[in-house]
Amino acid sequence: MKKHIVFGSVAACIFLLFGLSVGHAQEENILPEEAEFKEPVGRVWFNTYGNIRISKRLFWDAQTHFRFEETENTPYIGQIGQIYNRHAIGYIYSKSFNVSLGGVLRVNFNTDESSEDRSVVPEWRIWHQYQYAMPLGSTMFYHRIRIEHRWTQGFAENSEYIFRNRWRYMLRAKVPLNNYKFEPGTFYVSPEAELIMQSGKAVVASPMEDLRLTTTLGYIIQPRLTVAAGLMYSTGQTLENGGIYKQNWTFRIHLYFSPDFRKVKNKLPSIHFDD
Amino acid sequence: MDIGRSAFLHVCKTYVFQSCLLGVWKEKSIEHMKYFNQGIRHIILGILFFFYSINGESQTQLFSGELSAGRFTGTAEYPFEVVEGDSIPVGSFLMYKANLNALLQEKDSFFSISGAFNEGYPEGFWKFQFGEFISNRSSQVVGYQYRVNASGIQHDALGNLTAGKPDGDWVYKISRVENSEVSEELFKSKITFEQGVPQKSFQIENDSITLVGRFLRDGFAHDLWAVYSDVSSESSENWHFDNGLLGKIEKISPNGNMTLEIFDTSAQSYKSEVLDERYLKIVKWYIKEQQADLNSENMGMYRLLRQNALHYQSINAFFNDLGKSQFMPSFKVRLPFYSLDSLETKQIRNIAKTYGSSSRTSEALLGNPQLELLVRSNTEANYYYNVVKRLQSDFLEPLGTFITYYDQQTIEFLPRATLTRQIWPNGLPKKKIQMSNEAGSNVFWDLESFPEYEAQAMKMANVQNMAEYVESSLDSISESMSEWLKKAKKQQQFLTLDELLVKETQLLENNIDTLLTTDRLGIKRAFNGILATKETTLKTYAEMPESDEKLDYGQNVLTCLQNLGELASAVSKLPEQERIIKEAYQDAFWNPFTATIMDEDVKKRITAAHKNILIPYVLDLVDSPTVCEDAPNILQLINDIQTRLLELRDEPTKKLERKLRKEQDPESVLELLGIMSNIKTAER
Repeated sequence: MKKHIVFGSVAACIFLLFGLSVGHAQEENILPEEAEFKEPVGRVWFNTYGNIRISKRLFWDAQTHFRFEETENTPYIGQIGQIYNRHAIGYIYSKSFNVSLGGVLRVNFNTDESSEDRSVVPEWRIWHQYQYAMPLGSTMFYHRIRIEHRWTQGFAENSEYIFRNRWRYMLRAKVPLNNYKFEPGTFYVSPEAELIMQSGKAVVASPMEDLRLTTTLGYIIQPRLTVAAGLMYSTGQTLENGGIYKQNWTFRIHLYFSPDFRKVKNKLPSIHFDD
Repeated sequence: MDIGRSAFLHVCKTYVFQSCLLGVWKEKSIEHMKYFNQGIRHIILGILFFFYSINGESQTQLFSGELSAGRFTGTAEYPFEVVEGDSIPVGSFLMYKANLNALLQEKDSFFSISGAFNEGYPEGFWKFQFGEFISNRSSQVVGYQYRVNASGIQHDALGNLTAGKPDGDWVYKISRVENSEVSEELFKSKITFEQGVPQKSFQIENDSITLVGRFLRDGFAHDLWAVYSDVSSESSENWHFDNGLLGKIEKISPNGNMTLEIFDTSAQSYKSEVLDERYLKIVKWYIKEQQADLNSENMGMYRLLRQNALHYQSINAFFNDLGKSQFMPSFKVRLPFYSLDSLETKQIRNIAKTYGSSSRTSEALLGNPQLELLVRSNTEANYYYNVVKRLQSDFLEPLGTFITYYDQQTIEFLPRATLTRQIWPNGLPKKKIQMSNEAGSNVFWDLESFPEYEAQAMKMANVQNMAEYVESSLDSISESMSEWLKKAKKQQQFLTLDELLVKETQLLENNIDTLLTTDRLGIKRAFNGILATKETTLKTYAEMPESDEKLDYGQNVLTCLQNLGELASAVSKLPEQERIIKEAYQDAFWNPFTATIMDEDVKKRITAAHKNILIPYVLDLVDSPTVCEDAPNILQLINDIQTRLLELRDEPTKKLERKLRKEQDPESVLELLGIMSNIKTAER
């Protein structure tokens, strides 16, 4: 476990230093005299996370998120902002370390009610992710490094795709509340912090795209089915001007499922990765 | 013989086969000539062996192995011949047993016997050595041999035999051995024989006294047989024989001399006998007749002769088991003979028979625990009990003594009048038994239907009548008491049964109290059912009138209570069994979202059927009022369910799970799972 902690901490430091140096390179942009914070926007995300085992070490990571954003006419739940399909093939290196590589198709809906531009545009990403899990007593800690190569375009007609890289690090904990271990019937609380940095030609003065601070309450219904809900505060520089920060309050609802359609004999041994 | 034949055939086959080979491969002819010569040699050897085997059937064969003869069991080696189906030892004989390990660990009983047989008769020099040794567990090597010192007792017997009879000097001695050296001679007898007949003088001694005696040429004891003690040159005991007849015994002691006249020298007839245990018993009787306080066991002569006879007996038993022999030395004696005529013999035989049956009846009555209890409350029973006691002491005990003389075959050597007077000094006891000494008491026993008999014991007919009277009396008493006894026995049975029932009930109640620690799966209901069944059966039993049926029913209740106890124990284990099944039906799997191992229930339809259908079904059965009869089946079912459920864990069950989906009927579920149920109350 000690190894995990050291490894995770080193990864986090390197990532932060890298993020800061990117930020330093943009300091010549024209910025407002003081940082401006936009009014927080309320959002509701319905996220499904599928983790489908396809072999002893491989799994299909299938995520579909429905993200709603409030507008003036639609407070609270808001209207659909993005439908987000993230898929990858994951490789289980050990019980505590896995990697994934895949693609994302995000369908962005124009939530600007006054806009006369296109109402729907696609966004493409290639992503890869490295995740460590570290047990500490009954609590689990997770370090997640996610790197995304992202092609986006605006809603304006004939707008060009711009390419950016995203550098994400997330530290998450899961603390079982009514049990000493994770098993069906367990409630857990999961605080998490994720820093999303970005780079690319279009990124001039706003390397910090998003800082997400979340707390979630989860419940394990069955070994292969978990639900969770939580509130996330996020803030980050707008791409147009690094001095202006957007803010969001997002209510997130998660559904985690991990079916295994393999035949029984192929499932065994299901936990002994090193055999 | 068979081995010879098969060897011969084998050689022939080999030869024919090899001859063929000769024809096919001529270029290898030289090599084949070699085989050919070998083949011829084999044939000749085979023929020789074949004939040897055929003739060998009437030849001497060698025995080598475990053998038991007399008091000896060990390894024996000797040649024997089979004549008309009997194996007869011939030639030199060796038998031995010695166990060094036993000696070193604790003690060893060893023996070594060597000699020879001729046509089944022991012949020539024989040597017996046996005894028991212990060792001090230390050893030393001397001249390439390990030497272990032994201590104990060794018997040595050696001498010559001619045609199975001792011939020449025979010595029997017993030595005490300490550290492999003789430390003391405990016994020694030296007797000279001629064709089995003891000759001249002989000597028998132990560690304190010596007996010297002599025989006539025909083997009859004669003249003075004297016992000398080691401390005095004067004899301490003299037996005077005259041509085999023991006339008197003189006992010389510091307190005064004593002369005992033994056999009547003017009896009507005499009989020659062997000086053996029986003879000594007769002498003992005569001694006792004159000197009741003289213990003949303490007389040196008696002791030495008896000891010698026992030692010769052990060797005789060995020879008897192996072949034909007459080893027992015929120390011949004569004694007065009071023969029984055929009528008397018949009468005594009848007396013995009647005595046997009477004493069995008497013992049965006096040893009957129910009767012993009954006499305390029932005066009539008490009377009968006392009559039996009197019959035992006044009639049967003297009769027993009389019969002993007949059984020991000494009766014909004892003067009848003296013997009967000794046993019945006042004549035979009277038929009418006065039960109380108090004056005027009129309590007595008399079987009036039985004719009076004479008191004179000399007449065997009278003794026989008395014996028959006792037998009839006892039969009559047993008959009178049998009803009471039967009743008492039954009462005793009820008492025992009630005690057992109470004990079993308490056990059951306590068990249920201890076992009822949880109501998981609703087992409390089954326990209550068990308690209710217990109550009902006990109540039914208690309300039944005393009868044979009640006894039978009580036995059933007892079995039922035991069954209920077993069921309670089985029911109490159900939650644990259910937990074992739940655990067995779990797979550990790696949850990708928590990155932890979680247990996942598998084949849930099977475990659900177990928990929700089968366990309630079993509890229903236990709760049923007819649970007693079905208890063994229910126990079996509980076991079978558990075993089958655990088996199904690893079997392909897709189809079964599908079928279980809608099935709610427990019996159908059992059938689907492949569990046989013999429950009779299933139709409830």
